[in-house]
Amino acid sequence: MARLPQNLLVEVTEVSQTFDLGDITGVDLSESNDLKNRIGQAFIDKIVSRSKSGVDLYGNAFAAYAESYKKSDVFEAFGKSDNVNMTLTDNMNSSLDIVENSGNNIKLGWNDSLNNAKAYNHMVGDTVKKRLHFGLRKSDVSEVLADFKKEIGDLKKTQQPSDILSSLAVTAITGENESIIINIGDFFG
Amino acid sequence: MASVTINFSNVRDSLIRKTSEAIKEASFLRDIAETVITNSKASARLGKDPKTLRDYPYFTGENVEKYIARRAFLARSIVAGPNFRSRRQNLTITGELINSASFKIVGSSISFYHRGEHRPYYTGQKPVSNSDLAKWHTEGAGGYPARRVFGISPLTMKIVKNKTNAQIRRKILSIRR
Repeated sequence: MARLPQNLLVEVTEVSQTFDLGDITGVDLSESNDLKNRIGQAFIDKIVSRSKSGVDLYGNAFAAYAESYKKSDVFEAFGKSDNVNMTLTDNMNSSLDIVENSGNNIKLGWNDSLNNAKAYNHMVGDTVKKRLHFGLRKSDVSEVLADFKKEIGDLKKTQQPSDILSSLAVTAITGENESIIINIGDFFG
Repeated sequence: MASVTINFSNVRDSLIRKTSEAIKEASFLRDIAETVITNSKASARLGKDPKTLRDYPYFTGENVEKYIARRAFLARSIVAGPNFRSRRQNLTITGELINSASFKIVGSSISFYHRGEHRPYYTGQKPVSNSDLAKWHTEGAGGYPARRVFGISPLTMKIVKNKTNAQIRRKILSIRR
């Protein structure tokens, strides 16, 4: 079994994964909360849609349901099939959230202890079969970030002081023929 | 100095337009509707009021055993629905009534209703619409205790809110700068 990604925390009190988007993209996103939120939501969508397709963190099919569960009232009432999709009421999947957004970091996880406990239980196989439903690998992250390439690229352009400042020459006209050119780049030595 | 006005009305308009587009998205509304229907049906099948998640009231009185025997007989003579137990008060013999819960999407609204007619249990029985049957059960007509057939519980509402928040995060924050 491959090791869990380093930024993935699986503890009884907290199941979460933290992404340093500044480090991953090479761009400072600390002032771009909207963009970070949308990237975070795209990460969540990736995790949930993968779970609903019956596949775990490493691309393996989830372990089959236990026979006792398949014979249960709950299984029948929710019209479940052999398709293991981490969904009953959809409470756990829909509660997966961006629990922290600060600096360049976003952290995904659960704000409530019940859903965190459910997520933990599946991740470690405590009272159910082990199913690694939560988390993203580097390749998943890259795939999601490809959709934000243009916005991140645009942001990067604004964060290259020497390029920008050297191109910003402000010309002030003081009289008919006299002009003063202020090169903002000069102020930054 | 000439008067300069900064008008934010276009920001407001843009937000309203974006929100409206986001919550009208067919896949989003279908997901919400299916979640509500699945959870409501499951609660009723498990013998719980789908709105309050409290157990349906138990039948009492001298005719209870007769009633249970009739349920068992009908289930044997037709096809018993999901979670049928002769002694469980879960609005299920064939399961048709609970299964009839459907939805219709118009604009950004989802309407829930019971579709079709309930198949008669025996020859000569007058057909009744599932909508009427649901109303009678909810009101407790015919001497039976009131049992709501369809409802949205606080848990389901929480799920709906979470999904809506996610949809807004996906769509509203993408207003171009």
